[in-house]
Amino acid sequence: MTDTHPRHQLFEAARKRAGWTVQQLWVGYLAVGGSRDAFDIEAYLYGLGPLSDDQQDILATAVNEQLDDIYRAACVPYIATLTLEPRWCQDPLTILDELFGARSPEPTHRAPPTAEDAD
Amino acid sequence: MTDSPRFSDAPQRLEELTAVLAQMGAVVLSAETIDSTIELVTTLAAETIPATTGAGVTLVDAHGKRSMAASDPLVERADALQYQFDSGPCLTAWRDQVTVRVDDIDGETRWPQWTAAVAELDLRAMLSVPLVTSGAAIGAIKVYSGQPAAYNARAERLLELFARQAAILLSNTQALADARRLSAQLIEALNNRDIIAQAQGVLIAQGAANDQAAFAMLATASQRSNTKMTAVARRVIASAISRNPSRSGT
Repeated sequence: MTDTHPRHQLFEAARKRAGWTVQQLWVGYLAVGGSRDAFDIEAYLYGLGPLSDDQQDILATAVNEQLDDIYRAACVPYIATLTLEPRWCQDPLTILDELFGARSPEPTHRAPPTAEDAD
Repeated sequence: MTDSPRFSDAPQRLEELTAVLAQMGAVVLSAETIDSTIELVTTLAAETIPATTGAGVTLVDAHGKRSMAASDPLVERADALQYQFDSGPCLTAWRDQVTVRVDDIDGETRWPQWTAAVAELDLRAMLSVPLVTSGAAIGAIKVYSGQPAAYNARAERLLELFARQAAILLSNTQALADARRLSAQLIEALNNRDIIAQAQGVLIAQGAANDQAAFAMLATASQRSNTKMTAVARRVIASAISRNPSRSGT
């Protein structure tokens, strides 16, 4: 255990920081594929019930995306920014290709547009 | 004191009050919004309590968000000053769940900052009653008068009776609004969920071990590309469709 707090407390702290009620958190969790009901989630947040690892990750996705939104909304925009060619941005499909490459030798049908040989 | 002349027409007032309460009862059926309901309650309160210059209603929801209405700009000013100082008779009524009566703002000492600021307005007396449903204070209703000692014990009782009905009405309207908001959020949530589930299916077809592995891949791609998971899922689906031979074949 590297965390000083149990994970459910991290979730509860993140929920509060995200400004969400338990119900809003549950709707967010439902939106990214969560399958436990609102009472299960509330019980987990208060340390009164278990939540499987995969459901915990779904819950994390929901609350982390909300925290990102809040953080981004609070950021001050830059006056001068440079535009990058799309191929230099981390494209989610390219990342998925990498993940498939690392996981199994099976070829995917998509040919990566750029050389991604490193790693 | 000034009791008897104002309430000599008590039976007539009771009849009026009954009509007022019936009017409030019809609101839920017509599915008003919370704002229009607050406005209606405010107007009715101003008409119901004798010697009233203006009335106001403040509603505080579960997230501490305030909605308010005032039947008169003076009331709006007097109310705004309370929130500015975070102190005043209505806030006391709401927080302590008690009826608060100010006979004369000139001699009032309980809220010194507010009293000093409100002195320049043409208001002398006020009465504030908490809006309570099932034990919780959801806000406060208040009436102001330009005459000192405008409100007595009977006016207090009248406003308390009014507030009890208003609280039920407002909390029902709020519950209805919450339910509507939730169902709209659920529809959006289910749409997103469908997209993620479809993308998981695509990834499984491409070799992901199971739906959990597919989710982990989506989550990783979402974090590393700094893109929302639903946006990643949309890309995955679009990419699968573009590779579909039945689409490009003919």
